[in-house]
Amino acid sequence: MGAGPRDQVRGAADQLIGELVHLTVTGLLVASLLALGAVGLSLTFGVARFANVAHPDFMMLGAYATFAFNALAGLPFGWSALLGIAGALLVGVPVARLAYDKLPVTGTVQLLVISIGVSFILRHAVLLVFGSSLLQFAVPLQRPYVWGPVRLTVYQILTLVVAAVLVLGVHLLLSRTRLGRTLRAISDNPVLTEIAGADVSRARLAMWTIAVLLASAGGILFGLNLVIQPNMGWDLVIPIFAAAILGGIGNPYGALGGALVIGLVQEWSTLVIPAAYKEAIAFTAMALCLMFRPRGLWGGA
Amino acid sequence: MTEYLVALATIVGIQILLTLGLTLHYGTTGLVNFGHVAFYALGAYASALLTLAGAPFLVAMAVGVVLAVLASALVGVATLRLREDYFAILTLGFSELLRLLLLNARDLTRGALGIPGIPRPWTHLPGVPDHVAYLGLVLIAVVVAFVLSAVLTRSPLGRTLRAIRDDDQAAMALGKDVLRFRLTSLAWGAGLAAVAGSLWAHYVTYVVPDQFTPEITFYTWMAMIIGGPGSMRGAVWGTAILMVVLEGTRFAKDVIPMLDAPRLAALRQIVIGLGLIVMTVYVRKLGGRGRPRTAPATVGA
Amino acid sequence: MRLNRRQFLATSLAGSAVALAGRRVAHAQAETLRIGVLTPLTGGGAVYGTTMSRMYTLLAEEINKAGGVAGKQIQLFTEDDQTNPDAGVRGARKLVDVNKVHAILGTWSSAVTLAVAPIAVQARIPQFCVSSSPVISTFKDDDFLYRTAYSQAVIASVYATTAQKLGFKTAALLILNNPYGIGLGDSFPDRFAKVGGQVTGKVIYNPNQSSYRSEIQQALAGKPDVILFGGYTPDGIQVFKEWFQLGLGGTWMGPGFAFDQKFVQGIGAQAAEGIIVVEGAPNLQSSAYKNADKLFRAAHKEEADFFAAMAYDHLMVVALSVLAAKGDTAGDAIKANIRKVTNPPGKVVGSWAEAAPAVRAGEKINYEGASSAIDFDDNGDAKTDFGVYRIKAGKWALDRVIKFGELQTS
Repeated sequence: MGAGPRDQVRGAADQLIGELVHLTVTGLLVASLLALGAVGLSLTFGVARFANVAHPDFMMLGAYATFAFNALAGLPFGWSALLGIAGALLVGVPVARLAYDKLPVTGTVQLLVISIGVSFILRHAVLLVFGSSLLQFAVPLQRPYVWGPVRLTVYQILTLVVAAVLVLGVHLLLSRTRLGRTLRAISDNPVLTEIAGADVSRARLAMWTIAVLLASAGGILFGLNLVIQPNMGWDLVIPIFAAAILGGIGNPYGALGGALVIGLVQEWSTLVIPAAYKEAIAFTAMALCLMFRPRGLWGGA
Repeated sequence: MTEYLVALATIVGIQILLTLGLTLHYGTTGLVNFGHVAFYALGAYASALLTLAGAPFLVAMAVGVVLAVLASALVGVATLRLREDYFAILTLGFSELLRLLLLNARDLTRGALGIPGIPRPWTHLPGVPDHVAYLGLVLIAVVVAFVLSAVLTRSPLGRTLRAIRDDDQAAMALGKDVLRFRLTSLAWGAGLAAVAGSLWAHYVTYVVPDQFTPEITFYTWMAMIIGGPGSMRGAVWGTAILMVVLEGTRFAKDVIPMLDAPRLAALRQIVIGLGLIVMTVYVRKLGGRGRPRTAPATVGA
Repeated sequence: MRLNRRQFLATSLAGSAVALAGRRVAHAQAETLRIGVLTPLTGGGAVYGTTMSRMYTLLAEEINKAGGVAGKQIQLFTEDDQTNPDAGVRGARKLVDVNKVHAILGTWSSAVTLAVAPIAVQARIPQFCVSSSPVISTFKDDDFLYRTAYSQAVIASVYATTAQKLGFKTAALLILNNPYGIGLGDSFPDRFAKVGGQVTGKVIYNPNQSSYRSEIQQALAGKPDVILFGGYTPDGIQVFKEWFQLGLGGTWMGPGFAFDQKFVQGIGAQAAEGIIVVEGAPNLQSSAYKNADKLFRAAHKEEADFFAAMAYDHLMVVALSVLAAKGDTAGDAIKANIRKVTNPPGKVVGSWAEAAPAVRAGEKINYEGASSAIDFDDNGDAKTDFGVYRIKAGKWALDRVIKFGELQTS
C-alpha cells in the first residue's frame, strides 16, 4: 500500500507550509536588519527634511569599527561590538553634523547631493583602509537551533531581539521623553518649534546620535549574520528607503512596519520569482507606494 | 604621447554627451535625475547586441536611443509628479534595477560574463589610424549634440522648460502641460546618454553590467556642477576640467607607493565625493537661479 | 565600483610613456620578444596572479641570461587584470595597442580570458590562460588561445568520479554566476548521471547579495549527500556560512583555489573538517617541474605550485616556438610552431638549457611541462592530472591522485 493521493497532497502541503515558515523566519531576519536602518532614516528624513542617501553607510561604519576591534585587535566580539558602536558614533555623528547641519546650504536637493558625496567618501575611505574583500568577524560559525521548519542560530535570535529592543527603545524615547516630543514637534513644524524656544540644535544632535546608534547596531548584526564589505550599506539604500517610505516618512513606527512588509514580501517572492530578482521587490514596492499612496501605508509627515 | 591624448579626448567626448543630457534634465528643467547611467547602459547594450547580430552601427545606435527614450517615458510617467527627492531616489532605484536585469537576464545579455568582441564601425580609413578615426566619430557626435542642445535651450521649448524649473505652479497656471514638457526633456537627455553608451561600447569593445553603476551618474553630476548646471558650454568644459583634475591623482602612485590600481580608484572616488560637497556649497546655481529652495516642487501632489 | 575611464587612461598613459621611451631606442625595441603578462594582482585571484607573475619574471631572467631567444631579450610588460574582465580588457588593449606585445600570458579568471581573447585574436597573437570554463575549448579563436589548466568539463568528471568512489549518490550545486561556475553547472550533471548519481538542486548565486538562506534551503531540499561548490574564496566563505547556519547536511566538495588557507581560516578549522578539495597536480617527475621548482624556491623560499608550474610552461612554450621559428616573433609564426615544440614525437626536454641547443640544431623536440605533459589538442587544451584532498585539522591531506587517463566520463 503506497502513499495515496490524499497523503501526497498532505505531504506537499506540509512541505509548502514548512517552506513558508522558513521564508517567514528569513523575512523577519531581513526585516530586523532593514528596520534598524529604516527607523533612523525615517526619523532624520522627518526631522531634518532631506533624504540622506548616506544613512545606510552608518551601518557599514558600525560593522567595520567592530571588525577593527574584533578581527584586527583581537578583542572578544561582545566588547568589540560596543566599542564598534562607539567608534561609529565618533565618526558618524560629527560627519553628519558637519555635512548636513553646519554647511551653508538649505534645500532638499543640495543636501541630497551632499549626502551622495558623503556616501562616496565614507565607502571609499573604508575601501582604502580595509580593502575590497568580503570580511567576517572572528566568531566561530554557529549551528542552528531547530524547531520543526524553523532554523535559527543564536546570533540570528540575537538579531531579532536586539532589533526589537532598540526599536522599542526609540518608541519609548519618542513618546515618553521631552526630547522625543521636541523631535516630533520639529518633524511637524520646524519653524514653530524653534519659535516656541526648543533647542533645535541639541535636538538634531540627539537625532543623529539615535540614527547612527541604530544603524551601526544594524550593521554589526548584518556583519555577524552575513558579510562585511564596503558597499554593504549602499546596497541596502533602496530597501531601507522603501521601508521608510512605506511606513510614512517621519513615522519611525511605520518604518518598522515598512521593514516587515519589505522583508517578508521579498522572501516569500522567491516561491514564484527567481531569487536573483529579490532586490527588485523593494524598488517596486517603493515605486507603487509613491505613485498611489505617497504618505505611506500608515501615513507620515 | 599622441596615443594618450587621443584616448583622453575620446573618453572626454563620450562623457560630454552624458553631461549634456544631464544638463538638459537638471540644468534646464530642474529634474533631479540620479539614474542617468540607465540610459547609457541601454544604449551600450542595444548597440553591442545588435551589431553582433549583424545590424549596421547606426541602426543599432538608433535602436538604443529609442529604447532609452521609451525607458525615460516609462520612468517619467510613473515618477515625475513626485517630490524632487522621491524622484531622485526612484531614478536611482531604476538604474540599479536595470543593472540587476542586465546581470540576471543571462539569455539576452550574457549576464556577468559580459559581451566581448564588439565590432568597431568604419575602422578602416586609408591613412588614418583606427583610434584617431574613432575619435573623429566621437567628435562629430559631440558637435551635433552640442548644437542640438544649444538650439533646444534657446527655443521656446527651452524657455518653457526653464520656467517649469523655476516655478512649476506658475507654469501650470499659464496652461502649460508640465508633465509633457518634463517628459520631453527627459527623452532628449536619455537619447544623448544612449548615443554615449553606444560609442562607449564600440570603443572598449566589451560591456558588462558592472560598468553601469551609479558611480557614472554621479561622476556626470560632478562634471555638470563644475561647469555650472544651466549651461551647455559649461557641460563641455566642466567635463574637460573634471577629467584633467582627476588625471592628476594618477601621479599619486609615484609619491605613495602603497597605492595599487583599486586603491587609486578609491582615492579618486573620495575626491569626487569631496568635490560634490564643495561644489554644491559654493555653486549657488543649484536649486534654480541662485535661490536655494526650501519647499519641494510638486505638481498636484 | 570602478571608474572605468580613469583607469583606461591611466594604463594608456603608462603605456605611452613606455612606448615613448621605446621610440628613442628604436632598434632595441625591434630586437626584443615582448611578452604581455596579464594576471590578477588584486581581487579574488590575486594570490595566483602574483605567483604566476613571479614565475614569468624568474624564467625570463634565466632565458635572458642564457642569451635570450634567437638573440632577442625577453621584455615583460605586466598589467593587473584585477580578476575583473573590465580591467582585463583595458589592460589587454594597452598591451596590444601601446606595447605591441607578441603574446599575452596568464589570464586566470575565465571571464577575463573570454573578454580578452577577441582582442588577441584580432591582433593575431597567441594567448595562454589558466582558466577553466569549457567555453574556452570551443571558442572561435583561430587557434590563438591555449590553456594549460583543466576545463570545468574535465574537473566535473573528476568530481563525479570522486563522488562515486566515496559513495555519494545525490548532489546539489552551489555555483557562482560567472563562466567558470556556469561551466561547472553545465558539465557536472551528465557526468554524475553516468556514474549513477543525481543532481537534486542547483543555486546560481551573485556575489554581494544580502542573503542566500532561501536559495540554499530550496536547492538543498533534496537532502543531497554532497554539495559541489563552484565559486571563489570570498563568496565561498559567505555561502558556506549560510549553509552551516542552516544546519543542513551534506559534505562539501570544491576546487583548491576556493578552499585555500584563507577559506579555512575564514570558516574555522573545525567547520572545515572533512571538506573535499580537488586541484590540478603538477607534473612532479618532469625536469621542467624540477627546474621551475628550483627557480621558485631560490627566489621565494616556497615550492612551485600548480599555477607557478603553468606560468613556467606558458613562457617556455612561447620562447621555444619563437626559437623554432628562427626568431620570428609574428603571432602566426609562433602559432605555427607551438605544437611542433610541445607534442610528440621528439626529444623530451624540460628546461631551456636542454631544449634551446636541440632546437637550434634543428632537432624535433617534445616539451614536457611542469604542470602537465603539455600536449595541446586541437582546441588548444592540455591534459592535466588531479589531486584529491580532504581537509584534516585545517590542512589539505592527500587522499588520492587521479590521472587524466583514468577519467572515463570526460
